[in-house]
Amino acid sequence: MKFLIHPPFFFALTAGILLALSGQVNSQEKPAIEPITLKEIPDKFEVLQDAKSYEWQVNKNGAILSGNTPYFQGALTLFVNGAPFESSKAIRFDGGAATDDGALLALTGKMEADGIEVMRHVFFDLERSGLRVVDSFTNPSKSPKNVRIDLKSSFQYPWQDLHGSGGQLLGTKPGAGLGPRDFGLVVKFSQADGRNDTLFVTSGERDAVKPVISFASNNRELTLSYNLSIKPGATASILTWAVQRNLRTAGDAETELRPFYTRRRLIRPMVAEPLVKSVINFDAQSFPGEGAEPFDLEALVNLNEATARRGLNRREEDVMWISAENQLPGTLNPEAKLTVSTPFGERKTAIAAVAAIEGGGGIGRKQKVYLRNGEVWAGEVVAENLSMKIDEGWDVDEIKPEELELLLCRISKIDGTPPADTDVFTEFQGGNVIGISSKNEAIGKLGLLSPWGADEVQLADVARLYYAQGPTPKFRLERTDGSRLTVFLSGETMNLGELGDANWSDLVRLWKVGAGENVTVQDDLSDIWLEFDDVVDSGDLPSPACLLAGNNVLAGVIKNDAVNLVADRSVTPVNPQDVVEIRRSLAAGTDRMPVFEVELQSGDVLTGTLRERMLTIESAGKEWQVPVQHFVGYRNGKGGAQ
Amino acid sequence: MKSVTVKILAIAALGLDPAIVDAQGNSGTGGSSLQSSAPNANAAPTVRGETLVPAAMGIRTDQRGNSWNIENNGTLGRVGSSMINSGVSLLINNQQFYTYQPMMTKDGSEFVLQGRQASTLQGLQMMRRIKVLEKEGAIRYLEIITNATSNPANITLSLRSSFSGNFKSYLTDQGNTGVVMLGERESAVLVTPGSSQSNRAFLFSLTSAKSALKPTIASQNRYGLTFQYNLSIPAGQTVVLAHAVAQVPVPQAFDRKSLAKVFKPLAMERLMASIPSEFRKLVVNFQSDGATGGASLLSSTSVDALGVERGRRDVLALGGETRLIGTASCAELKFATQHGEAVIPFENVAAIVGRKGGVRDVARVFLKDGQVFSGEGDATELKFVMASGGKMNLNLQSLDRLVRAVDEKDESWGADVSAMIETYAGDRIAVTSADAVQMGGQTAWGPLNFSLEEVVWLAPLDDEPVGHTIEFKGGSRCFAFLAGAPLVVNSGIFGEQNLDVAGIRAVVTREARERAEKATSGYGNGDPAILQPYLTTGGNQRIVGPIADAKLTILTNSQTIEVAPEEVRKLANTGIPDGGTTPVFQLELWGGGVLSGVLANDTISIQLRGKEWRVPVRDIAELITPVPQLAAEAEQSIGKLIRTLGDEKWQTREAATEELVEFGYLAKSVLEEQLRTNPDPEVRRRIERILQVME
Repeated sequence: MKFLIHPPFFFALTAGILLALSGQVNSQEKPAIEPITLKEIPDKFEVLQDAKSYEWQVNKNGAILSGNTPYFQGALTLFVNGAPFESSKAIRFDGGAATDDGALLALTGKMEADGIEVMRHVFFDLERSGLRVVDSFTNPSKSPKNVRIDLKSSFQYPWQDLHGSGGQLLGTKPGAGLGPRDFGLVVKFSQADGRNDTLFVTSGERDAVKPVISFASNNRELTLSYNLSIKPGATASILTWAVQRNLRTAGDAETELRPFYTRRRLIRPMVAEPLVKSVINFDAQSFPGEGAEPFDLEALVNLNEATARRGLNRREEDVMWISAENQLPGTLNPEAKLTVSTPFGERKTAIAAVAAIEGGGGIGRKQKVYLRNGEVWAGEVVAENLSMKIDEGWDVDEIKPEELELLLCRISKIDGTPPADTDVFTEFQGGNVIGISSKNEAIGKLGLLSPWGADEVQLADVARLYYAQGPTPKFRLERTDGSRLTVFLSGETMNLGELGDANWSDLVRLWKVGAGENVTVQDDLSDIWLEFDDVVDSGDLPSPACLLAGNNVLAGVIKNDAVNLVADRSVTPVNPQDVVEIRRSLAAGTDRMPVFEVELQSGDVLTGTLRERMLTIESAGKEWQVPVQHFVGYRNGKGGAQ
Repeated sequence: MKSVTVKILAIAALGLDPAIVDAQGNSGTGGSSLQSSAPNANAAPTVRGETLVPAAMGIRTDQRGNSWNIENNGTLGRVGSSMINSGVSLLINNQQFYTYQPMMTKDGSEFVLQGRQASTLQGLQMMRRIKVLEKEGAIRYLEIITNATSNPANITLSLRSSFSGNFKSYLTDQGNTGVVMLGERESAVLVTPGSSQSNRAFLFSLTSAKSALKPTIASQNRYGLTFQYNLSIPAGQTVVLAHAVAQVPVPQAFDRKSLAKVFKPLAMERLMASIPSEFRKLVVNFQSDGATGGASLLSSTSVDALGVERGRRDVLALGGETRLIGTASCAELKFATQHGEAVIPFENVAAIVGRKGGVRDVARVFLKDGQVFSGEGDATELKFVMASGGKMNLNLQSLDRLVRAVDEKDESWGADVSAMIETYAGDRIAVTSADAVQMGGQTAWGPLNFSLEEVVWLAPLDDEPVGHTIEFKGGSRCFAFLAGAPLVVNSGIFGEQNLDVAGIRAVVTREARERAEKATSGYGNGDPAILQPYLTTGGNQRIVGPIADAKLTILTNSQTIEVAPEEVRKLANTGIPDGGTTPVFQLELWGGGVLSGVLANDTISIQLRGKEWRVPVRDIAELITPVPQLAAEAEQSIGKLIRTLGDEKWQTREAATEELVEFGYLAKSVLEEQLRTNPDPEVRRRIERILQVME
């Protein structure tokens, strides 16, 4: 199999590709870190452990090792025209130290016999637990070159079977090929062996070069081969993901590889735009492109959740989604209209305002219309002239919402523009999402109960309210002053104007327009906040603030004239205004009689119990009586003595 | 083949091979119905509707990629380079657990291993239930022990693991290493691999942080670890010990946050959801705030909590060490609380806690009737005469603690006292007319307004979430935030008092005390049976009342099915599938049959205390209808079949018997009535047999 790589995608080994590789990381992920050229290349780089506990290591010549346990002795070892690659230069793009996200390393060398300049660029994705290799081959000469690339992997013990990424067995003879829908392969060991399986993402499903697979009869050596023809001055690249997993069955491989390649697209491949065009085993459409996302992706909160569940992205075409395997792109009839019977009455819209329709699936499931403005109407949908021209040349004359699985409408520039006079979205039981104005006094205040009493909050003062995941049903309220509280809603009805009344008790979620992806991030209430640093996003905490039991933060001050700190037989009254911080001791005290450390502005630190049984905390103009055993910490917001 | 319910234990007793009989008594080889004897009254509970098949033991890999080699007796064998050689091997009084033919649930998700009777453990029946927790990457164990004797049994239960080499270290979820017993807040142990072992650590979740039952830990030269529990099992009772083992990445740091990340997902609170409800209430090593409530709620404000051992003489306590024995006297004890003043007869005083020179903000007086008041006191001629003859004059300003001699009146609530309220300020106030004390609160699904008369107990939750759990006499138990006007209570000695609800910590009523007395063991709770439908939800909540929805609509894979709530015997939430938004429910019908699917209903409405609560389906763990409601048609059919039980033809009687068995629980109440009243001995004998099968 030969592929001709055309100029002008020439990138000299040094500046061009390296900049491309480092630049893509910088633009997508992190501020730029200066690449470091190593003075001496170690025989083996350090062992890195990924989030799933698998170990990775690269040797001097770019072969991949499985760390301290030799599941594979050298994976994706690179051979060019039969000669092993030897690196002459190593550059690190991670500042010399891996972060939680990963590490980047480039090894370069020149193949003496052929003059081909080779670079192996390795990204250790510690977060997703995988390793991505891009091998780039540049022909600096003035004549075309035919190059055979072998990526050899050898395993310490024989594998049981080789499978395609879809889970089916590959042929048992050397020279087996991937199936038409495979995008990689699995080296599967017997469960009884207890060895990690090795998964490779090798090639795109469509219009891309697939490797020739060969293996030794002892089931220990696997080779992925590519034949390239590189034009003068051109570069060809091969991208491969290697993943270690312990699979129950080979059929689980596709699920495990989904974070790396889904629906014909590479996910966060960490390859820069200029280099994308040189990759021969994935076509350009496999790489995430700029235009593939909605214009304001974050604003369509509910639709994003629905598509994320299915691993989908909306496109620049209408798509009737039947299943992961069956999707029909085409063009919807622009004259179509929808009527939705919601609990708030019958609502009508033209298809142009619709971002997606989730149908009844033929089993009576609730139907939802996702509007481009962020609202969702849930209820029985009646469609008028809802038809679609399928790209393959035939028509669907009538799309029945009750039968439909999912219809994704093409992205539009109006996506994410909220309804007029709307600054808050409210989501109700059943899935309806309605935009409202917090300035509309008729809607009323948010009545709530906290563990320390009742309160009423103006909608304008609510940053976010959501039903919290966890064993005990409850809501979390985030006020604009930074308070974060567990609450129950106590109001009766909210007036939604022409839509009628809604029950506050039916509210599931409420967020401000523009809250973006923050809407979906919840406090992890399985962690108990024992100090301010434990609070999720603790950098955004209000000051002054009290940290209270049950992962509650109340913006406000201690109003007691003094808190009396008891140590041994002495009592020290402390004016809360003189306090920098109060922390509950993690080492001493009990739940009923906690011990506190009080840091004063004078720089002194006192330790003891509080003589008070209750504290008064003023927050948003209201005084809260809080038992001392619910009091965890206090920050006054005034710095201590320097 | 008709379904005949026979417990596994009973099968064993009959000498049949359990390998060919499932939990319903279905014979795997066909053949005739089992004519079983009565099931063992002391046998461990079984899971209703569960079908067991011979187990396929061997290696399983969970969704996190951990391989598990579960052996016949539940011990974990080694897989590949795993650091464990033999894990969580069970020993009772140092006797190895052995099993009959291992069984598993029909879906293969849980192994059920019935223990063989050990000669030295006569009367103890043991069972292990083992479930692979796919998502968590863990194995959950239930060690089920029934004391079928008429005497209490004290046993040691050991879980022994041996490793393929020296493990590196073991540490608790609080970061303590090398401990020999789990401490107050500790619940689990992480064993990190040595350099020659695999890169996965083993995590053992052993108890809940708040449980009083903590195992000891013995390390055998870092080659082995044994966790040992001491259990006391009352006669005829079953206890369940729950624990789990997981394989986890070795933490890169051992600070509290890093450890929490590793330990939290395997906390006992989360494992409880995987335990069948029949066993959940028997778990002895799980306790959480507000989960239990009951009469013990007030123990922290009792005289016993003052750290002074009481005896037949009065004790004057000074600090942690000094205890003077003698006799206290007081001419007059005036006490002023924020609600008023009173003179307290000294003979009614169980203890006085003074201000200790100002270290305490108030003095506190404990009365023998269980009440506790804080405030300022004036004790005229408060004296203490030591047994040696020395005399001391005391005053409440400097006094530490004075504890009076034990008296039979201690904690003897007055005859007119119906409840005791404890405040966060440390007071305990008696309530004489609970029906007049009105309280209010808010739950996740609606407001609560109630009088104390309707309450059994009200318990604080002080972690996450903070709030109160309220147990009502009808069986409902709700998590709520309290609110409303101050409570007006008549405390007797201080007259009428207004209590701010924000200051209320706990309430125990006379009903709670009576239930505690009725409970025959430390593990039981004396709760009355619930006969109405009820919903259970997260946070250990239970809402009892009629279901108000006319229909429940189940969307199965292929069609929509409507079911009347009264037809439902059990609706169980099996979790939200990957990629889904709503939970899948399994629905058992009283008339037989099981459905599985998502509910089209967004909520289920249940009537509680005159109000209709709409509980979102995502919050519902189970809907149970304890007693079936018979349609007239079904009642007629059952009546006809019962009459046929006395038919002169044997075949007809047999056929009617089998048909009645098929009716299952639906026929139970009618059969029980006929068993009492039917004059035909043949009919009664057959009914007896049918009811035995149902058990």
